[in-house]
Amino acid sequence: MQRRDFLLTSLLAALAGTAPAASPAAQALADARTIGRAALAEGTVSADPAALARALGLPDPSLRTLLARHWTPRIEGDLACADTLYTAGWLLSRTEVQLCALIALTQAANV
Amino acid sequence: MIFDARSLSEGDLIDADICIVGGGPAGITLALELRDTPLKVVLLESGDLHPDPETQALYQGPNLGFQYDPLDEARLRFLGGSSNHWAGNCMRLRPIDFEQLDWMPHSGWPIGYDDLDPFYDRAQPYFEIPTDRPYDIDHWSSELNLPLLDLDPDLMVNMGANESPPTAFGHVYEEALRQADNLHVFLNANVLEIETDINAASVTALSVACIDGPTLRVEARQTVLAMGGIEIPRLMLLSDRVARNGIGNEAGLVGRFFADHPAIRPPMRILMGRRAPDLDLYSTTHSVENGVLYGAVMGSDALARREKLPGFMFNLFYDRHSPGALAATNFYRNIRGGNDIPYLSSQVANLFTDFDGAVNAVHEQVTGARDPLIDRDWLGPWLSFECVPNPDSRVHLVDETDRFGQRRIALDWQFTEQEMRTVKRATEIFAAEATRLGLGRVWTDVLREDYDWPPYVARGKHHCGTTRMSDDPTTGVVDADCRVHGMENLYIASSSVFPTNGFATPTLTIGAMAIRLADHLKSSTRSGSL
Repeated sequence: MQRRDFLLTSLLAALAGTAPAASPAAQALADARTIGRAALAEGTVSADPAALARALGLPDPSLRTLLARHWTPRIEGDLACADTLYTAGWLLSRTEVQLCALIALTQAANV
Repeated sequence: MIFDARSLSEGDLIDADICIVGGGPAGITLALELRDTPLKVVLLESGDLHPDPETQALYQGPNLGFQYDPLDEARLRFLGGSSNHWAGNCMRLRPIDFEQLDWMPHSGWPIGYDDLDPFYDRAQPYFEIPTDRPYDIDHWSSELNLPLLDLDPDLMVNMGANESPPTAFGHVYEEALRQADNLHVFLNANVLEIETDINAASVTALSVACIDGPTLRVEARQTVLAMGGIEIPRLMLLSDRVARNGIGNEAGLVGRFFADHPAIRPPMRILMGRRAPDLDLYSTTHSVENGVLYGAVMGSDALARREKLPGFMFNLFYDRHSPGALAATNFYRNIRGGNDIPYLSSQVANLFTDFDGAVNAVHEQVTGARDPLIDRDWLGPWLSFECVPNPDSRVHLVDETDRFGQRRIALDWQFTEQEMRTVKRATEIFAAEATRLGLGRVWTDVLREDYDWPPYVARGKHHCGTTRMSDDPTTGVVDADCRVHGMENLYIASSSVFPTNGFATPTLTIGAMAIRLADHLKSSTRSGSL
């Protein structure tokens, strides 16, 4: 399993409440929130969950919909064409930043 | 033949056809090119065969501008000069480096790359580096069976560099200098003044002094200054008995346009991906027949012309310091010192998003261990870049004097806005390429809007530009033959003549230029003008 797939799977598990709080999944979720909050603070991506969902091609901004997708090909596509955003010191794929921002927003809203 | 000038008598006169001042790579290469000729060549070296603190202290002078090493540590003053402490990196300037670029004020050499190319070939053996296609990185990639990065040529290209052992010229060529009948090397001989005729158009003699020894005079038909880019303007400015502004300084250019090769080490850190391309060609050196070489990446000519971007290169080295480790170290140091933590939110983010690195830093701090607790591959590319010619970046005499009563020289190194633009754009471009090529995830603070120069900006201690070359006496100190404008018998062999210095380390070019000058002097001899 690729590291990215592992992290996304871990995220899914954490959000579903099946992983303990101190697990790698919880760490990955915390990382995503940290990056997402930084991206939102810097204005790197939209702060509107609906707009983020549309940009990601999702029918709605819920985490369940987000985590049901397999994002790796899209992220690799971003990286291959250098479609990247500079967030919190990291150069990340646009899709990754949008996902992190959406996670930060939905977590903040306690969705 | 090698002599100790201190063994001569007070007031002794030394005569020569050619006198070379300075026994570093330029002076020694020039001297060796002139051996076995009918010419009597005298080489004056300030130091001895080994370092001496009293002689080294002659370099002292204040730093008034951008951060720099103490001047008496930046260079070495004994036979072999600064080749006694160099890293050995050899590369050639690029053809574009010689061009007059309309977007780079004061750029352009009066000679082109093709004029220097054959001398580069002849210089290779002096530096004990490969002679068979030494910079053909495609060839060496194939020979070594190590892949090249598939860079976008509109942005960046691969390049090859050679690594000298590094050749310590004094040690390696001492015996050759001793054996040559027409070469007369005088150690511990400090040149205090260039004496001229009443028109300051011809060198008549050099005034020489030894520490705890005699004063001497050297009379030569031709004189070549072969010291570094700070000591040459110092001597020219000190020689103001006839020419009140110093020798060769009618246009006020002696000492101006000081340039070096600054470097950010590193401007970014890359968490290597599991499927990252093999970087072995770049991350370490490779022995081949006749020497050692390695790969690097540089901005392409297309990029330079399109974006008006000066030269830059990246060395692709692995780095044990990750963003999380650096953040943890910053926390520790600042809290311990009672200081505020700069960029607190970013540092916190790094602690969390690079938890492995933070754990490693804490582990090393607590246990004193040198090895990381969690193995992660990080690349920390080094960025070296070109400074554009800047007349306000200069060296000049100050009132403080040395043990001979000679005024010392100050360095006032100044950047323009272009240098920061180069750092940011080069970082942005390589970060994008590294991401596109799947090297890994890039972290950098250089792209922050408020990024400023870090507390330590590395420099090559490559003193360039202070006696720049130009066909026009109003825009240069020496002509295309390295002869000082307005002086019939004074030449310069040094990186001080480089009008622009690209990003390439200068030592090989210094050697090539010295060989070219030797040919010119030999040709002058044959034509009867010497």
